Amino acid sequence: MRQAIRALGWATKIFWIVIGVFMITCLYSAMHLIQANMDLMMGGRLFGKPEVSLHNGTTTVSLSFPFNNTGFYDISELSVTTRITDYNGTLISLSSTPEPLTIAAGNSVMMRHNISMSLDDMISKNLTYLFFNFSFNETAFNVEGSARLKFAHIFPFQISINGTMPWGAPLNNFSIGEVTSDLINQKMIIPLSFENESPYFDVGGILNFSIYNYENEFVDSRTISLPLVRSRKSCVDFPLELPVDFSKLKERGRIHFFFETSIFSFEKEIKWGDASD
Amino acid sequence: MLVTEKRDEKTFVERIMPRVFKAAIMGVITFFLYYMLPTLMFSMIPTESLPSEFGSFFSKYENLVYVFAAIMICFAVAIQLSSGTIFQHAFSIAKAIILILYFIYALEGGILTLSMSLEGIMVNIMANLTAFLAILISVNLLALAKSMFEAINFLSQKVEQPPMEISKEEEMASIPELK
Repeated sequence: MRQAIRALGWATKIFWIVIGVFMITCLYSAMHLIQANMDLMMGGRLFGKPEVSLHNGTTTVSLSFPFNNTGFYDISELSVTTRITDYNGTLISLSSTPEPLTIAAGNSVMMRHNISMSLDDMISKNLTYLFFNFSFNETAFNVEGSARLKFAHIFPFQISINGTMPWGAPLNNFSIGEVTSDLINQKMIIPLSFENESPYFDVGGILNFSIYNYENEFVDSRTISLPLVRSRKSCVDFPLELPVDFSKLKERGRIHFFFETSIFSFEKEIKWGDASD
Repeated sequence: MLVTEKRDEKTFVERIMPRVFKAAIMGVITFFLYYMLPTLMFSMIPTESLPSEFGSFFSKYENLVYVFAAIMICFAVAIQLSSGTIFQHAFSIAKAIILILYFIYALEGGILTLSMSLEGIMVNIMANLTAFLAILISVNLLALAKSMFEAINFLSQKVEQPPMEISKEEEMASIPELK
């Protein structure tokens, strides 16, 4: 009995010492970690400049940020997830870190997180209004970001942020005015107008437009480069001139626009003339 | 008869004084270990450079550390004062049970959450400390088992002793009076 008591006594003492040392070093490490990364965040240096790219109809915003593990213990299974929904709750983007990261104690890594938005997805979810018919709004998108990690291989942590993101359609009120014909020069004049209400990027790129008559017969097409329209409230109103064969052109029809910028590409069709039937 | 009572009183005072002295020393040591050291550690945390919500979170845990220190000091003194009696083991058992309940309360069942607003953005932090809580409970269960064994051992030794048998100390104490 005495030996069992002595053994239990020693085991308890040793466990208490180990737990005490572990707790103190964990707290110290966590404090250092929070402070080191909080300094980066408060100094606005947590996120580098976001890179925007377009590939196969998917717009990708790449965020890179340094993560400095100044503690005594490893950080494992580090993953970041972002979820963007519009004000109706429709999912626009759900992106996660492809592979969880492990950052050894004392190491620093540059983490990269990609937020992808597929154009096909947006069309299928009827989100095209975000490009063509959405005035600037401070709380247009709900953004939820979460980071999961395991501290010292034993404590799972989850840090999540909830916020809103302003948005405005880059081609807001994209429309054409009254189409006129210049019979002398055999030209069709299409007054095009839109406003760039996007708070993030300037709009400029290539605009391809094709004209069809009401019999769905192709009349003509043209590609022009659109001048750079600065972000927020820039109004563009300019005429598109297209030499056409007036024998093919009827009094009504449709114009198919294909717009391509470095950030997104989009198609839109607008009817002209009395094209209600 | 009067002489015997006086002798008993003296032995009680003589017996209690070293215990009180030991209890005081244990109390001071426990106070230093569980109150002074954590206070020193908390003062080293630069809470002013952290968001205010972190500060309130730490102050909550600062208070809980003081409660822990109070539990430890009270039981250290009580155990020392009642050493050599069954109460010593009863206090040890009570201490282990109270510590288990305290850890469950302090660690909120193992899931700690903290919500704060950073420049208008809501930040939620969640820590899953269930594994750590399980370790703490296990160590306290170990201490509980040890205290129970000690209590059983103490009682069995009492049973083995003849009821009227005088201990060696009492025997020695009675020698000058017999003379």
